[in-house]
Amino acid sequence: MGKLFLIFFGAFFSCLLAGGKSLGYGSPLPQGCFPRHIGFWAFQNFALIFVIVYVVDFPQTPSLFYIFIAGVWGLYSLMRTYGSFDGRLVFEKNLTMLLRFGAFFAVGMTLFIGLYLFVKSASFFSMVGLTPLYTSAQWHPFTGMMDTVGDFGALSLFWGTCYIMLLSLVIGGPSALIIAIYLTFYVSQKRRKYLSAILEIAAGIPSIVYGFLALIFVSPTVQDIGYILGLAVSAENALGIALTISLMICPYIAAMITEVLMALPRTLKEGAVALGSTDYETIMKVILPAAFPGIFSALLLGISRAIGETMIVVMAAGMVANFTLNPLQSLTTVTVQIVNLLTGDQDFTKPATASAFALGFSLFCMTYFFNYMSLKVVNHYKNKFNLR
Amino acid sequence: MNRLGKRHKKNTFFRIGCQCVCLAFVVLFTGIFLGIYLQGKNAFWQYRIHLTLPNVSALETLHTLPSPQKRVFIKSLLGIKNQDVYSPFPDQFYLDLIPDQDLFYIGLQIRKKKLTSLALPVSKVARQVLYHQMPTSKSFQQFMHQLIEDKIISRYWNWRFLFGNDSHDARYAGLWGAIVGTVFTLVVTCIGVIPLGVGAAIYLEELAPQNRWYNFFDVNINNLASVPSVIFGIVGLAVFINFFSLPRSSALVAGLTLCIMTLPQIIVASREAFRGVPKMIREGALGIGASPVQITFHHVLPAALPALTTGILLGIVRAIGESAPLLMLGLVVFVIEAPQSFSDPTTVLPMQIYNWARQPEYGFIERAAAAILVLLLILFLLSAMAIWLREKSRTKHGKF
Repeated sequence: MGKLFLIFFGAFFSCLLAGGKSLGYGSPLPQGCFPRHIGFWAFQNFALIFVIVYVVDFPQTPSLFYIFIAGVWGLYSLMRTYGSFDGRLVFEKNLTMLLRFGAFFAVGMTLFIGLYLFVKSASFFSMVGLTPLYTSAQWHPFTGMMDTVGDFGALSLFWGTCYIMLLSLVIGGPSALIIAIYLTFYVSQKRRKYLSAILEIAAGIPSIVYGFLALIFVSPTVQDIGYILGLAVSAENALGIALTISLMICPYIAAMITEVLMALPRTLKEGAVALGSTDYETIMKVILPAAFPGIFSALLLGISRAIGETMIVVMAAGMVANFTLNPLQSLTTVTVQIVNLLTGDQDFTKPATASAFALGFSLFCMTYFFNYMSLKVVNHYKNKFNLR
Repeated sequence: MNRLGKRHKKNTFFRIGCQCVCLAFVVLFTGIFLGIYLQGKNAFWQYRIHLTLPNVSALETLHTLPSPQKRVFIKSLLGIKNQDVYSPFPDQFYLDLIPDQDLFYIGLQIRKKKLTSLALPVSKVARQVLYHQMPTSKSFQQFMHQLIEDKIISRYWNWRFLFGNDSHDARYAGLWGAIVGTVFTLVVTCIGVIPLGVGAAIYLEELAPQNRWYNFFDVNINNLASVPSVIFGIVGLAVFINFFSLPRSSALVAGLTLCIMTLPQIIVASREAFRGVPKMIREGALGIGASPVQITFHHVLPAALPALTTGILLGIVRAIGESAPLLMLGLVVFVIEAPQSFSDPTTVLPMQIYNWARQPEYGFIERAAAAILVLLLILFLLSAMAIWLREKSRTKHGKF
């Protein structure tokens, strides 16, 4: 199998390179370095394939068969370079095909991931039934209370995810908006360049760093403050996690909102200022309503990032599925449970492992929905203002 | 007049509020990095004791000796000359300085490398005293300072932290395995993702016919770019490890999974780069009779190259820092030696941080913080380079 694969690709590339001879496409050297008549490149490729096949396969088998095939392919490409054959057209056709393959691969991946998760979670639902995952709050995947299969009520997990997401959005969203407004309207051009670079670098800080912060610094601090105030605070409190996540998504959202605000037509601001409104009034009554869809979509993307956030919650959140409104209690999220179910040895026929796929599928659908919404909003907005 | 004053007051308040929030943000982030730096800086420096070593057999019988004799022996190891200064300190101090497991380590070193002298990292207790992290008796502090004064203990730049392998003892734990693992993983990711991602972007932006399918592609790739990374972990686990049965916790599996994860991002970024190329370049090339492929490869691609590099670098930055999918692919393993090939058990920098941050033993938290500093330094350099490149390309295209 591997040999055939090799032969196929060798021959394919040889055709590609031989086909490109008329314009020197396949050549790594500048044009005119070598005499390009009589299919020089095709001959070279034949030699190349021969060497590859010889080196890779010869120690195991005589491989004369493969060498023969490679030789035939090489001769074929040699023959094609004679006469009135236009190498450029073939080369361009093949290249376009190759590039199209890349695009199809990427799209195929989405479909594959979606379908794969769907099939896997369908097998889980056939084991346990459709309803318990979304209606019950009893989560004991490894040891069930009712029977030996396990209890798969993920309502409390979804609650934990949504609650932490909402908390972090309430803290992170407005501050991101304010930062973006400040960057766009109150900072000089030169400073803005540096500040937005800082913002971008902050948005690129990996989540493991924030997870470390939550584990070492934020959660213990929340606990200490709660202790001073006389409140019962769990060591794995949801508030610390939400604070950390808001810290993480704040620069991310702010960078996106800055871009939206910068893309607004200047005429909006200039018109408002000409009518005698102050900066505050311009921003509140003209800019923000006009930029609302963009801001909304940035917030949606922030939401989908907060939902999918894994490292912070894995490091700082608890494992016990609580169903509580108190942010000082321990909560668990979908991502924590997915990681918990899939680390270590796993048996893919067990319902506990299969439930991770169902959870993953739910997560995939949630984020897909948010992204789709955000894209729709942005497109609508672009059409409205004739932006590119 | 009064109303106008009110409006302006509101305006001022708003501006000051905005400034305060921004300042708070900057202060918070600076504080965070300062905190991590303060946590992690001690891992880069190490206090070591100089020992002059006897033969192995003497060390092996040392466990059985009673503590006064042990003290005499350790004194001889330390090469203490002025006996009178050290005589008032009790036995326990010497035993705290070089505990039994260290004696075992010394024995190992002698046997392996046939050394005659050794610089051993100070024990946990001594370390806590040196960094003022533990309240102790005055006399123990005096003891330590005497040792420093006699140059028996001195401070070294800890190369072992960067170029040593991981260990269960925090004093010997190093990052080298994780760094090599990161490089291996990145090689796999780059080989996979750069041709595929840039190719797909070229096709979508330059060569694809604009029809229904194009919109479908557009929406799908944009959505794939913000699917949570855990999902890619699940898929990587199920497809690469379970279906193709590639070696678990290897750089190959991790790289392939990260490749799938960064592919849509690279496509989106590359498309942005191609869109940034002015239309007149394409039209000019078309005007002198270039084919679409020639336009793309001879004119658009060179013009888009800086922005393209930016996008790819930012994608790589994300791949370096990514940890959630690798958690499920088994990269949290304890790796004794740096991986030799793509199928060896590997760990990467974020996973090493995760491992160390969870260790309850003394000294691992600061190792984790120091590893974060290393990671952030790498990411900072890469993203600064990316942003600089983009700014450069922007000013270049401004001339068109």
